[in-house]
Amino acid sequence: MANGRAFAIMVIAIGAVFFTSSPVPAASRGGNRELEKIFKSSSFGEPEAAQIARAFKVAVDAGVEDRDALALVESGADGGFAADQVVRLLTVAAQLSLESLPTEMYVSKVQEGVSKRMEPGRIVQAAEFRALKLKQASNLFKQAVLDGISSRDREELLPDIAEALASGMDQGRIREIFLEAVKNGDSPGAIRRKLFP
Amino acid sequence: MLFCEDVELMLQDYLDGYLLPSQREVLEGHMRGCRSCRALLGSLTRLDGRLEGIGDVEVPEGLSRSILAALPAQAYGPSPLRRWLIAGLAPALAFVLVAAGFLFTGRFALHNLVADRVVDLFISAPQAASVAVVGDFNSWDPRRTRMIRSNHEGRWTARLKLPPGVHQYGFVIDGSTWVPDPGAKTTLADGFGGRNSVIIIDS
Repeated sequence: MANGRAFAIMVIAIGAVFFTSSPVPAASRGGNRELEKIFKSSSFGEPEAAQIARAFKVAVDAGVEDRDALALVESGADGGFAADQVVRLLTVAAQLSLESLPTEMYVSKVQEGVSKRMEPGRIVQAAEFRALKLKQASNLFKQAVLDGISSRDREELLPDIAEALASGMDQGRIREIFLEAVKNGDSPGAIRRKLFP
Repeated sequence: MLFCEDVELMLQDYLDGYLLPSQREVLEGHMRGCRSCRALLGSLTRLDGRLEGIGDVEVPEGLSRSILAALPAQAYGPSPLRRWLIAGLAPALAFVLVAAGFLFTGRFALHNLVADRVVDLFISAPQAASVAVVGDFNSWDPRRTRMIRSNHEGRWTARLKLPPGVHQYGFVIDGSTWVPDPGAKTTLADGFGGRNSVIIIDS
């Protein structure tokens, strides 16, 4: 009798652990359904779809929002990307997310390229250039925080710094803008206006 | 040219008085010739009227006490101390959960709390049959924000609600010709050999 009770407790405990440590988070289950819908209306074959689905899961596990990862796959399908190009898009998004960098700007550049009917290779290149600038922006912002800028403004300002860098603004000038902001107590809005004069 | 689906999107703004005079004129022009949009406007107007007609209802004093008194004793629920604990702890627990949710998702930022701003965009394109505004705010999808031809000189307008930040955008004429906003103070290279217009919305 005691053994039976112990066995029942063990089964319940294992069940609880299984359910709470399910490898697919709830949000991704919804994401997977959306992913299947995209595959159904795309020209990707089964092995390609499986390859993209694996990269999708890696990206979501790395912290990329389902919405952003789906937008990348959808853009890839709409823009005539090869499967390995979509995988590359997702991998870069995962890298950004692992470095706590926002992915919206990167995703937006891919969507923009597809909407402008650019060739996929060129879109990947333009988006990766933005990803690189986000990383540079992050390094500049770390320095700015040491100079006295509030770290709370990071998420708001990083894409703007990255875009300013992408448009050719010198890192030294951005540093000056931050130093002036600390001195004058400038708001993120005021900093933004100086980044895009 | 305005389609019924555009009208559906704009009707609530129309009723709330958010449309520009030129946009109202175009919308009203469409509705004069479209029975189904007139019917939709009629039902929305009736709904608004009913909602306004409800008015504020005064809760009689002692209502909750009377309800509780009318219930059988066993249905009273927890003791006063437990009720006090639940009343005190539930909001605190809810606050902690919401705050933790924001922290864990890493999505919390001040701009989430700041209201969107209304922005009017214009372009002159007398020969165009359709104009759309595209940008990072609508996933660069020309189907999502069609502009409205607001007069015979070929002036196209769109009213957007944008969150604070730097937004890049452009216009798509007749579904294929991309042009930056001639009225924008700043443009940026788009990385594809063209330029995007920039609009900065202050927080």
